[in-house]
Amino acid sequence: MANYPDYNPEDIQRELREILPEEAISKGLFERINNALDPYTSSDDIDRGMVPYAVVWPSSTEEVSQVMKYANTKNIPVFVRGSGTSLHGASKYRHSGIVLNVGRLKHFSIEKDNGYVEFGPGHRVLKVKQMLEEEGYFLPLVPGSIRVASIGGIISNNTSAHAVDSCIGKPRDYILGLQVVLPSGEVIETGTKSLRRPAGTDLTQYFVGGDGLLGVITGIRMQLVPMFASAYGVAYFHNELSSAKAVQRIYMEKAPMPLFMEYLDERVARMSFAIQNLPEPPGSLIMFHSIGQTEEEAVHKVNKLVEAISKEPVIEAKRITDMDEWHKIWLARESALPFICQGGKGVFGLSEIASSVRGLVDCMEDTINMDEGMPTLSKLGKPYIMGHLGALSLHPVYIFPADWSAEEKNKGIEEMFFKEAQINEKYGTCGGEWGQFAKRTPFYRKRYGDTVYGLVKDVKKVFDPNSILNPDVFRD
Amino acid sequence: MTSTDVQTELKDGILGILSYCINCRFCLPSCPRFEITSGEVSQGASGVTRSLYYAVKWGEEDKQALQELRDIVFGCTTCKSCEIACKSLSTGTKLLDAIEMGRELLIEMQVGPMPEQKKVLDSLLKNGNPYMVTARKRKEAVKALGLKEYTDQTEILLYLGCSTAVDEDVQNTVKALAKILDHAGVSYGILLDEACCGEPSLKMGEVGLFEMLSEKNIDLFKDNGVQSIVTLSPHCFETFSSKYPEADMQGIKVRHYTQLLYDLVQEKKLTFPNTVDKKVVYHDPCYLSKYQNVCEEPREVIKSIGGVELMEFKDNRADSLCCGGGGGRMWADFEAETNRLANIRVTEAVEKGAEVLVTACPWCFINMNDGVKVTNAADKLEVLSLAELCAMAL
Repeated sequence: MANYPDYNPEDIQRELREILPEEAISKGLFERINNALDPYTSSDDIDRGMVPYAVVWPSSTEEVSQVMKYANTKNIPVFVRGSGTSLHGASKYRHSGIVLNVGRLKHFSIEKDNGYVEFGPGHRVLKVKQMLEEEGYFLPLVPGSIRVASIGGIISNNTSAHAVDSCIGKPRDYILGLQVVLPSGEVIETGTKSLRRPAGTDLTQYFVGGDGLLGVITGIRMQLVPMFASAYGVAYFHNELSSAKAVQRIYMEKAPMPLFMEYLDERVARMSFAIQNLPEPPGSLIMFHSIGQTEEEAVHKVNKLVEAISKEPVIEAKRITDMDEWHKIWLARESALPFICQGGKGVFGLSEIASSVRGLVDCMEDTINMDEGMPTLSKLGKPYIMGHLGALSLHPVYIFPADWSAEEKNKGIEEMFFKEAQINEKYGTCGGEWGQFAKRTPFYRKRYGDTVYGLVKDVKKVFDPNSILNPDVFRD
Repeated sequence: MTSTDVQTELKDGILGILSYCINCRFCLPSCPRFEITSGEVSQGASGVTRSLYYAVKWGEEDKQALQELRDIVFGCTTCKSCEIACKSLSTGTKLLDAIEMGRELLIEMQVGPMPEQKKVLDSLLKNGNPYMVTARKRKEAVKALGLKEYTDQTEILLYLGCSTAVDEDVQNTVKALAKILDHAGVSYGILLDEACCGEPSLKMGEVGLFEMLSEKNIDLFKDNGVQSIVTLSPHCFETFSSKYPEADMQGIKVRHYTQLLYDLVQEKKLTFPNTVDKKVVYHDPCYLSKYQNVCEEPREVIKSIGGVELMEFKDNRADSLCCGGGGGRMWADFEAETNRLANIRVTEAVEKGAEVLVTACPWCFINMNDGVKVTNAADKLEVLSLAELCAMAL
């Protein structure tokens, strides 16, 4: 942990008022608490000593710059935050300091003549998606938390979320340029205003997926992606391993990758189908959504997927032509996790496992058996499994019962993340959806070794010599 | 039970409920109050409940912090959007139960309610209504409406509610409804001595007062042999249906007047001889749509009127944007708010080209009417209750 001087919050608030408008500072105790919380981590908690001095809401790049300059002069850590929905602690407030909430950085303009859109990081992803769709464009960012996550956070994480990377890539593939405030307060512009990407060094790539460690993104320029035609399919399997084999085959046979290929294990599928009043599914399933420039192309892609899947032991694989059926199946997938988590059963733990193509079947098996050798998880048995199988991503879920003590729940969560790291390390992968650092730092270090880990820390130092911006992510 | 015991029980209850919240924030975008504040997390849905959680957990005693908490917790409209979002997207945490317990706790701690709400609670205690009107004056006002009184021969008790009894604009709804029911040959009557259903006191955290008022009404229903109640307000409807003791309400059928009109239309006992050539947009009251899932009935009634072109708000049915009147907010103003929800609704209606905004809740009606005035839309948009619209077609 870095050392920072302790200040009286009222003094900091008063000084911030000299550089920011009154409405850009939240002084209230409860707003400060709310901006220090992390989602999902069951054990997440803060104590009185951890309440931020203030929450600032700059509405311009210049105001962000002023805050960073001020923080440097006072040696106060600044934690940047959008909606605070990072699932692996990227938005975690870790030391008494200032929270910089980007929620008011909300400019938006579509430059159709240039083929790009420019926007601020504070928009909710869904809002940007809606604004683009109104003009006939597609937003290539599709997190499960689309309703609430901020787009700046998604880009800082460079997450493709539910989408299949092999189909649409990552946000990095669409970001043309950024406006960034460095930890020192300097403002820089990166990238291009052309659709011709920079060759060679492009600082854009440091910040997209920079886990919020290197600078504060205040403006984003993104390529416009025309809306496409869609087609849909579903396949049911006797067991989990067959579904993994089917996805493996899709990759091996060079079948056209879909935009989404979602997975529900048999237990989850049965529950979620029942919620949507669908007939009981005959086994585990994958559902897929292909895209094309024309409907014919999208249909062709789905048919190719059905063809590839059908070469594996499958109960049924088919293209879905009835949109009502597709919507219900998709809703079943959407409601699966909420349904598992409800009814006061307890708190849930959700982890992210990614696999190599070759290792997918073994990875599935390891995930199914992730309770083995784990005393706390063993009490609960096998996890529920769902995820983005086409993207080689799985989400094992455990419900830690309501009547367990906090200590026991936390132990279960620790075991779950231990197994997550162990499996990911075994298959040579890394977080494909939830970022690399914060809670995952020990895994990162183990996975890439001390040299790489040291390099990352050195890069952080170059950008942030005073360790002001989102510090203490590297927990060693 | 001492106040300390009550407080301990409430604190345990709050922490128990909120231990299931995972800070996912999925409820935040659905929160109407979040829509009209500056974006501070603590002003919306999970921000409200997390504030409450930490105040309880830390045993917060600082006066300024508790006042801040009061403004946050009492600012909630209780529209239920957050719970609906949580149920469909997350853990199904009973956020509203925690908020209502929080209000009760703040009352026990003598921090709540909001200063302007104190006189409302006093009026409920003294007068049996929240509008600072004496019981006698209220009775006189109701008598002046000339409505049939309930007798042992009457089939349906028309439960007026407090706004109907004291607000002249809202009274047009009951006059219209009486005209419709007479036209349809329905046997109905009112009880001059009805007390407030107690909902405002319940939502402001004064549970003891709610119990007192509910007992008074239950006795009134029993003494008069009431078997069927039709309410004008969705708030009374929800309160009788879900908050009054089930055992006491056994054998009493409770409906909102939109359901009665729907039944009459379905049974062909109510038809509309005249057309109403208007573009109409229907605003779903939260306590009818989100709480009681009564969404289609009022629409079907509107559709049965010739000439009406029914339009929809972008957010409709269980996604309806709250008017801001629920949860005791009819009697309080909150500094954190930069706009009024009803203004947003009225503006959208005007932009859609609607000529009439129809609703079925007295508080929505009052707020929308105010919204029309504030946004200078009086020459473009008229606010009517569903009953008034129907009466125009008779």
